[in-house]
Amino acid sequence: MVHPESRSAVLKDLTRRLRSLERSRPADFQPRAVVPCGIPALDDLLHDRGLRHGSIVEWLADAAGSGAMTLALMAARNILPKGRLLVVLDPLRQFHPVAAAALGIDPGRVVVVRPPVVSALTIDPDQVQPRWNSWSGPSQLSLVDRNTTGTGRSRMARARNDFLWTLEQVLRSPAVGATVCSVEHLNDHVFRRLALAAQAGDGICFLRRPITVRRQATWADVRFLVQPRPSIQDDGVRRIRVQLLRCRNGLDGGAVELAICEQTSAVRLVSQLADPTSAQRAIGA
Amino acid sequence: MLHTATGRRGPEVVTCCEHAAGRGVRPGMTVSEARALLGTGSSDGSVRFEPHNPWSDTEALRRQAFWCRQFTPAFGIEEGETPESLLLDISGCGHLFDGERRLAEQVVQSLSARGYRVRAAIAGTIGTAWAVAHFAPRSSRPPDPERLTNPIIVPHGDNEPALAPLPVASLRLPDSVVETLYELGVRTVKQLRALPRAELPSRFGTVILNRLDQALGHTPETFVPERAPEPVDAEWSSESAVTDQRQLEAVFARLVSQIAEQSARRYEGVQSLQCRLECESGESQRFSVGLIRPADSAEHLHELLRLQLASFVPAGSIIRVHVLAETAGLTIARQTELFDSGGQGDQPRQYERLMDRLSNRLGPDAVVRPQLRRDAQPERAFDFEPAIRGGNIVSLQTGEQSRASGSAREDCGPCFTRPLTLLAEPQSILLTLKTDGGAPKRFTLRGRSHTIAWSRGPERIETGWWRDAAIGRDYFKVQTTTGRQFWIFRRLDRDQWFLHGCFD
Repeated sequence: MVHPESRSAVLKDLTRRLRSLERSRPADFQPRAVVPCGIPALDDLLHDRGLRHGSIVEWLADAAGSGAMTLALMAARNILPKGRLLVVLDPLRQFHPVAAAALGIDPGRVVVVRPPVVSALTIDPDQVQPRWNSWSGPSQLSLVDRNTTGTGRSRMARARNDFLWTLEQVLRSPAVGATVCSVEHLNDHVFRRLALAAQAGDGICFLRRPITVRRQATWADVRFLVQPRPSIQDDGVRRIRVQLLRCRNGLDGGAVELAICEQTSAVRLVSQLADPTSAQRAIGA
Repeated sequence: MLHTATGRRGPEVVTCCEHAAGRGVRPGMTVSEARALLGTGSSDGSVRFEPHNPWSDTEALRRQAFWCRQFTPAFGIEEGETPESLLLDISGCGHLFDGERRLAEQVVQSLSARGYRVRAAIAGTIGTAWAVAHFAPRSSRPPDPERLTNPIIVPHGDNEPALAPLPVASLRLPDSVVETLYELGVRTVKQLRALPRAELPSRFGTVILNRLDQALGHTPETFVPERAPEPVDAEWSSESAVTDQRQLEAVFARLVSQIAEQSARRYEGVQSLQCRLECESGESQRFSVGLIRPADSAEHLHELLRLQLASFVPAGSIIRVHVLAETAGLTIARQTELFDSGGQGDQPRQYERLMDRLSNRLGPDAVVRPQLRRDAQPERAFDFEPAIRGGNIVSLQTGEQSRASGSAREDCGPCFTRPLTLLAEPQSILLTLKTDGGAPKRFTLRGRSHTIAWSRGPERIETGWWRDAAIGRDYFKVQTTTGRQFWIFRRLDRDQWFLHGCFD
């Protein structure tokens, strides 16, 4: 039987070694600047207490209307460096600048890029957000694929290439401080390429993605899961649960419930969620 | 559209479009007077006030002069700070166009087709032609398109009678001299000529006699003809046709290097590239590459060309490629500091390069900047303008734009009253349950049922009656039992429900 004191020492040593492994970096590694995302509760979840320049941040949400894009834009507003642009990739032409301005985003610093879409395809209004399929290659604006003839596929492939090319160009540009867009499937090498582009441009990319990609590998530095919390009455506060699914160089798994004031857009922490299994153990269940 | 400049009374209108002129706006009017005449249009953004740029006007006039070289080899623009006339020396050219009148008619018709209002006159001297074109009385008959194109022709030797009834301003005299002559009661050239010639220089200087003699042909007057610059171009041709995309790129890389070298020798940058490709079959294809700002970097030009080539489908095997460059003076110094750090001072250039790349591949309409409007109708409360407008880049955060967007931003109201995702077309939904008060309780969208936990509203929007597209809607912000938030509305005229956006 291991002595409690020695057990504690072993755990401490393992923790130290784990941290050391997590922080192992190449010799020529240049640390990138960290900037708080402006939502303290989310910053506290992150290992560096902020987002790194030149990184990708994923916001996973189940469906439209969940509030993921709101959080992404609020973070983009706060991290946007002076003199640099906020670029919104909006192939479906659904970005509403009035709502963005109400969130405090200056329209004078926003450029909206609308890569062409395949007009033969239709938009699924229930999803509202563009859907992407991966039937041929990295990522495709699928928009409910009902006309995938040879020509249709070629046009879709062209639209997909245009979108990814646009995203990479935007990420690679030093003029862009933050990029916001929705994308579904990304294969590994395309994702890696985007991560390198973000690193070259030194901006931060916010990707709104569906929850179905949760189990897929990611090249993003940070991956959040966003889940709206229902309320039974309108109290002027929107509640959203945010769980950290991945954080580079840090531990993931933390979760917070945020309350966003609908008048002022101020965000406060509702409660730190305890691990449900611990709670069950505590009550002897 | 109104062009404004700061005058003696503050901001004044310099020029305006036909629409504004139809509402009573006139050049010289103060901007506040113009705003009063234009009413709501000036505040909701449908009327644009742009600062007047005389340099651009002169350049536009110069471009028209170059365009007129099809009529004569000697062409130019009048001298002065704000030139407004084209001067064409048509000596010996008339027989090529079936007479001088026919030539002048073709000039007027061609320029009219390009969107200009033109008055033309032919005379033996520049002074008389200028005076007649500007001040000869218009026909009292109602406007007739045929008549309007008729140039005024002063027969040889008739300069004096043609000038006599015209006002003294027609002699291109300074404003101060014209005012003094008017105060003295001298209004026409005929009255001016009646004055003792010897006394005029002591009273008004030599300018009056000089202009008068020039107009009458007693003193020769010349103008400096514009000289067309040597074209910057490069060509490749080969007996063995090119079929491969990579080979074509290599050809363009070589041509672009030559273009960049030529333009660098002139200390100019490339503003656009016109590319013509000829196939073995004799068919030719064209495409062009535009730049926001003149560039002298072969690498940048080649990159833009590659973007165009990526979507270019050759009609066959290429045997000849010709690239013609439009050049202009470079506006950006290559290096601003001894040790250029490439820091924040480089941002505008990086921004322009990004806009160049995106616009050339996706098209200018795909890269846009949002503009907020003061309009109650949600889909009209904003607009998107191309980031590149008329070949010029819309600058980042200009003062005017900031103020405009700032004032519109104040109207955005509190956060979360408008959704971040606004559907381009509202989607019809089926309301399956509602409360006694008429608030929605459950709706079905594409076969999927959504139960509403609470709703906020109605926010009634009734507007647009003056546009003949009146709308009446009751908007509700709703949250479903799963926490998702939507923006739905009921059409007042049909009691039909629509989804308009998501609070994503």
